[in-house]
Amino acid sequence: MQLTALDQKVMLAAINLHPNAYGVAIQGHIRERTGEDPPSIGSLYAAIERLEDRGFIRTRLGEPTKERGGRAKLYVTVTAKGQATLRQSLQALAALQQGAAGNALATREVLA
Amino acid sequence: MSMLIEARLVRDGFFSARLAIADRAVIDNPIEAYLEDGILSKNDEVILTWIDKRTKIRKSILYIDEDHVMVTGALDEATIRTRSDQPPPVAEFFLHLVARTKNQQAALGDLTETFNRNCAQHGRARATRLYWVEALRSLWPLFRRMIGRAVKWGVIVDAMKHHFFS
Repeated sequence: MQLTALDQKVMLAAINLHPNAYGVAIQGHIRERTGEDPPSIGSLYAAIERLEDRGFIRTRLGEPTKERGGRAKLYVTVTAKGQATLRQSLQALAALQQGAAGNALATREVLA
Repeated sequence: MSMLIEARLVRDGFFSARLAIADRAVIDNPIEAYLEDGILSKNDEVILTWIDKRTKIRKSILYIDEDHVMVTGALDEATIRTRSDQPPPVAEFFLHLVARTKNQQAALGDLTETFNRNCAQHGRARATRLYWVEALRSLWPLFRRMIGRAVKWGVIVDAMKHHFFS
């Protein structure tokens, strides 16, 4: 099963923030750890719904609070299936990175 | 230092206010209030926002003198009629159109939470701008998701019609 870069980020953030992973916290975590602009809330929730449909994450609603305009937080938990898929996906990426690093080294040696 | 505080006009010419810093109410009447040690210091600038009887939001700058707070006069008179802790209603309306599921309603809650945090940190004007930016960035992914679901269900219904009724 393919995971996009956004899927990977959302799932890694959800694992790191467990059990308090919800939209704003996930956005903040991605910004803090990667230094990049975080995905918009819309992209984040589209990814969450997509991952939930595929059984990679589970969601539960928290209590509505006043500071959120009476709306509840949506907490995200990565399932065992999701963790296995994420591991495979990251391993595949790491293998590709190793290949790329090897090629870069070989190219540098040829040029030298 | 610049901070935003809110006060409600009690009667013409007078208003009561509570300036909360780190959950401590410091100033009950900003016009005559004396400073407490370690909270505000000389030359600090405080922006006071209060809501008058017609629910208009007014702003003043307070300057901290030797030992008391002075109001230097109204800066402007905004025509905003919403409460300061509510996000811009037009942006919220557009998001409502595309946030159809229960989960996506939580997304609106996240935007409101961020808006309130930005209000406290940067003021309402900047918080409103940031809310609009985030709302516009969010519209397309939510809209695409809504269309995707509609198409998926359309295909399923079509297939069932074809299978059972043709």
